[in-house]
Amino acid sequence: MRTLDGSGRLSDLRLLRRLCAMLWQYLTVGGRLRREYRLRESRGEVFWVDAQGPTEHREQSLRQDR
Amino acid sequence: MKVKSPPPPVYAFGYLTPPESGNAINGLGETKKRRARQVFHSSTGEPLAWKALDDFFSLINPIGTVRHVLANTWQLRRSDGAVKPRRREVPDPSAMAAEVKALALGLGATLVGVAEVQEDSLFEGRNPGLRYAICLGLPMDRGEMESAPHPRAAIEVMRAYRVVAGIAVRLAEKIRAMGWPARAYGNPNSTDILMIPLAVRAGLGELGKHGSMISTEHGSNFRLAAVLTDLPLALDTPVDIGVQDVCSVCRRCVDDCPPRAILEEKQMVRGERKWYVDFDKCIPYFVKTFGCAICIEVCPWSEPGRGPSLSARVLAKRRGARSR
Repeated sequence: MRTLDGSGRLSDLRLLRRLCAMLWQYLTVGGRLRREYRLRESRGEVFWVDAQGPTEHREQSLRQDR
Repeated sequence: MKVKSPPPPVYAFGYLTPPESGNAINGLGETKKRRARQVFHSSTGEPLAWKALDDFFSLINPIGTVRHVLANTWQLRRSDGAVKPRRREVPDPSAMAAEVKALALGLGATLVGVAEVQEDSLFEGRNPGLRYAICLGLPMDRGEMESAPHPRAAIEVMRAYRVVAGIAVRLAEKIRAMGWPARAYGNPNSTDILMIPLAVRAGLGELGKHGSMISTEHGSNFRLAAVLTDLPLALDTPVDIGVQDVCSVCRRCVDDCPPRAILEEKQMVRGERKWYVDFDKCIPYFVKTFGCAICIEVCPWSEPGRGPSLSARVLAKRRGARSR
């Protein structure tokens, strides 16, 4: 449980930074992934999520900070 | 609702090294009671067996869903917080439950009930340390959801999660202002708790054959959030609206599920017989179609306005059969 120690604003800033990082990842890493996935789909090939997908994304690192 | 030519259950993605079956992780066939383990969606730091597919799912989703996920995560920073030092005494938990429910309805929830937090509603290794769960339900826009499986439906699902989570956050703030601890849970990756067992005990509806809640008011076309608190509240009881009678004979979701993931009979899952959806068949299709949602929309209970009459008819039929 949070307390009134004045750290709320700092954690809000950290969260905001991470949300921006998530959006950036979605646009960049995600954009490359979506293109690659669509390409493979059109060729009848398989996109291997455990080999070619991202290893870390959004909420894992985000939650550790909260 | 009729599904208009859903994509076939053929996938252009897969695992080089397949993870452990989600059905095994979920405890399908296990006769001993135990807590659930997280498999796919998770908001905790621990590695999950199906995390690679979850990450892939996050990145192929349309930007409209991502927008709601980000906004929801931002508002959930206020899910917990400081409790007002001076505690309001609660001599009558029934009156307090009525007050809290009125607050929740005033904030925009359409379904609200109170349950005690028990073992079956906590993930393994989790203990929020709060006794009561105030369960909240909010309908999704039927017009948008009728497009399922489609990105429009996916966006509407995440919008509903965001809105109901906002209600939970504000309700938790009001309870903390009364001097009682309260934590809002309003995310599909709800960290500590399993929403459905809580919502069933809180009387919001029953578990349907398709593995989702069914309420009289909205069928399955709604989303859940919860507030956990120690504020003394009178408990609600589970409802019998006739879902079990209907699901035992209805095949609508079974027949309309493209990957054939919905099982026709109840299964033994972690020591309890209940409706179960084959995780390993459902989730790849769920990923491919950005959250699918066919089963909850074709459900007869989800047709607007049909729930009350369906429930009344089924319960009357049952009473008639008993009196003969």
